[in-house]
Amino acid sequence: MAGSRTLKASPLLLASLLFLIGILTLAMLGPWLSPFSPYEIDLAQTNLPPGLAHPFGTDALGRDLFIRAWGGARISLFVGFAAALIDLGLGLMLGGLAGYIGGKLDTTFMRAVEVLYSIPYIMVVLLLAVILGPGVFSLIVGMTLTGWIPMARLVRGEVLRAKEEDFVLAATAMGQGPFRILLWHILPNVMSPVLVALTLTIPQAVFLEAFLAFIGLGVPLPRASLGTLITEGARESWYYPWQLFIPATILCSTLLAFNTLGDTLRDLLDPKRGEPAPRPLVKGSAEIPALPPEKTVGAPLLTLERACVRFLTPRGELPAIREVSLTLQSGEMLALVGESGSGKSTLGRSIMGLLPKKGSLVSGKCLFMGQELRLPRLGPLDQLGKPKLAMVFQNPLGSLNPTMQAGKQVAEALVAARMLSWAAAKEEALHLFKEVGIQNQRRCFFAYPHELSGGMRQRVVFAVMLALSPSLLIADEPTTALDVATQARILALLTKLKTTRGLGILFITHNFALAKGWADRVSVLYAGEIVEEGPSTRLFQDPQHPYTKGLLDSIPKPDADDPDTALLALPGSPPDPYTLPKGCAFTPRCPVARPYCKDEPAPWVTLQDGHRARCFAVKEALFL
Amino acid sequence: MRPAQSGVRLQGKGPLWRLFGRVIMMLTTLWVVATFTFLGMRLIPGDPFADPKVTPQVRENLYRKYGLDKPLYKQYFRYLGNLSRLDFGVSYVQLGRSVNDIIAQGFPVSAELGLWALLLALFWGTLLGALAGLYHEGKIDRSATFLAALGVSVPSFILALLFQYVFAFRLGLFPVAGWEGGTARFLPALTLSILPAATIARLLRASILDVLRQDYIQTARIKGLAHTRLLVHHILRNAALSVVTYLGPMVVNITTGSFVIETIFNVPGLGKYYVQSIYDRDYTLVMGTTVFYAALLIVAMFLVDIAYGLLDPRIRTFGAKER
Repeated sequence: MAGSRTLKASPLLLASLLFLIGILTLAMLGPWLSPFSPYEIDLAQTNLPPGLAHPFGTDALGRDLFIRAWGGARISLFVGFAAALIDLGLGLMLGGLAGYIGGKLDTTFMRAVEVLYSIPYIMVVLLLAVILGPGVFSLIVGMTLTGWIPMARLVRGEVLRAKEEDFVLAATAMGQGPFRILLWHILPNVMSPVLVALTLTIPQAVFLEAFLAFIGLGVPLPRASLGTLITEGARESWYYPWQLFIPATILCSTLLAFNTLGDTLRDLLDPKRGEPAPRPLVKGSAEIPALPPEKTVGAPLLTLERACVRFLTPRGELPAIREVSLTLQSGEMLALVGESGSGKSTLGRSIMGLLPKKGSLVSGKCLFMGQELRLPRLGPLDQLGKPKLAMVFQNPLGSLNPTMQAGKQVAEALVAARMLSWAAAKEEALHLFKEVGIQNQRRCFFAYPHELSGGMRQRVVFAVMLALSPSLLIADEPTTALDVATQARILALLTKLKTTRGLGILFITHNFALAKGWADRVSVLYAGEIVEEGPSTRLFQDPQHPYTKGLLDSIPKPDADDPDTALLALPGSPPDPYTLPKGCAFTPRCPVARPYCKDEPAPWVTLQDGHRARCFAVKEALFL
Repeated sequence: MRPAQSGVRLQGKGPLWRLFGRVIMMLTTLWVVATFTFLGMRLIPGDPFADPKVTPQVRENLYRKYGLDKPLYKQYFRYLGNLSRLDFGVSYVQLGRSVNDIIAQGFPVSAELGLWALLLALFWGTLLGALAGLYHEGKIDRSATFLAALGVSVPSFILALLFQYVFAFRLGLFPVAGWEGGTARFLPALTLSILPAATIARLLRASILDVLRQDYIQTARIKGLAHTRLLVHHILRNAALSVVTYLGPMVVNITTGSFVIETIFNVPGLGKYYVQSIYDRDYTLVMGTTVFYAALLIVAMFLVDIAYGLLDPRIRTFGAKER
């Protein structure tokens, strides 16, 4: 059951739920727990402190406060639940219909809702309480008069979204009636945000009732809500503080429990939950040491030796990178190719030290220009006066600060990394814009990222990174978010930078065709492991590993004679990273798997020019 | 995580058109409120001058004085005309007293109190929210989150009574009530600021966590920016946008909060007079003040909406929607 697991996962949810059940039970059973009547005046027993006969004491008229408090809680909660449920009913009905029918009705509905919604909610309730006279009925009418609007907007939005889902379209195509579709297919799917909204509407209504009681518009006497009791208690609070603090505590703790319940529910139902939030403010300890220049001669730009990255997740340890070794020279482009989930982006981020500190375990050696980088590094990277690493991400819009002009984002990097003055940084930024192929540099400088095209944004990102004068650039799917023509231009730019600046480029991609066309060398990553690597000319002419072969076959070949063999998809799906075999992870999908492939680590087989593959079948084909 | 902007969407039209649309929308809302109030006033059973001591001749004169002898539609247009001249009506109970008098007397005090509360709320809310968001999942985050949850769950009048009891009555640090001197202003302003501060803290925390997941923060880290620059220009600048959307509701919270706070601390502001007129069932005064408050809040929300557009470049240029 998903529900019971949710409860176990969040003790806060369980605690607030139990507390609310307790309050509700007491509010229901309260009248039977005390021999007194809530209205019975006993002038011999006034203002008694809490004691055995009167657990909460008595008020100025000698009425028992225990029974009055729980009776009051019942009225407050009734108002809260009634208002929230009516809001829910109206919201589901009107929002659902507007969203489902759409068109003119929806437009008219939204206009009307926007006018009503901008009327301050509380003034409506106040006005209605004055007009209709105080009472439970007028309270609930006032609260629901505009209270249903947020719910209706929420439901409408969710219905609009759900309407486009495949299964709803399928049901429509099968000729099911609109009412049935709304009830059976759409409603269950809009329930979770609605449930959260409901949980947060109840305390709002309880809160408002107490507020109105305090300004004399609450439930009329002799009935008393918690708000009434607090108002009465306030008069005597300096001398008999319990008369105030007992009902106040009941009210506040109930509100707190409802709010906590709503908050935890929202967090649990939020699809973004579970994504670790990195913490950029914790001061980092590891830094790139400054190098004497002679030490760097001859050494490769970047060397990874048996690098491993594991994430701690609720399901257990997730091995993202498993013993990856690679080298990259200056002026070389190494393509790291793999399916999504193969760990290629994790590898890039771990070299940059951008992994979340919490829950990432990193081991292995990472040498940058002969010096070891400790991973993961934290905090703003200290890039001043040191050999530099830079990284470009997949989505250029997401990589740029939306509230800062493009040019300023380059200039601030120049100020930080090269200690330029702002005026000099601006000049230099314009030069960099020219270098990355931006035509109208001055206009681009003052533009905000959202005003630029996708290709232009990625060029700005390159300019930002070049501002650091890096030796190594990690490009994580830099062209995936762009159209094909722009892709080629961006890759041509990368190639140009590689030669003019002697930049080492780690090009991370899932696209074999791009790797084939642009990279000098290629490493193929599968389930966090490198299965084959070599110069791109050799590797693509003579692929060895069954996975590489399968991937190459899945590139569409427009010149193939038989259209049926033009595209051979790789059978099976990527493995579950939690249950990887001891041997080769590709075994279940492998057409040439041996019985022992699953259990024994495959050997590396070296061919010529540094072309190697890790596979029993390759070894046996060569030596047997 | 952009909250939906209210207002007419005139996609594809210029910014002036959109502004025009928003103004029309605001005026419509004001008209709806005014009409609702007018009709509501007629719905209240009874006649304000039904007192048997009032002779028929006097009653007729009173009707004529207040225009109640005219047909309903004429009364309605007269009422709208008065509102458009910012005349919010008169009290039928306290003869000679008008809503405008009371506003002129009480509003400056309420505005000062509200301003102090607003400043305090921004200070506490930002501090708490930023600490919670930046030290996510640590002890600081947990305590700040709990404080903020408490802040939105404890009604302000309970806080007011508690603070009054502890700080003024028991400890004697501040005057119990009144509006004389700086110390008297402290407790009302503090109490009034708690709910908005807690809301700001919760919003800012969630918003910071969202911003920290974005790649532009990674980009900024790679640049090697100084801590303060990263924090102010990249994290807070973007996270603050969600707080700006709350400024409208915050004005509402502070205004309605002032009703009870001014009553409890005996601050001679508009809120106190308003609550008093509700206790007195001085209907015309209540209605007039309600319309004034509603208009104030609607205009404030409108201004905040405009300010939000100015702060977020993606809305400022009225370009196509992104993300």
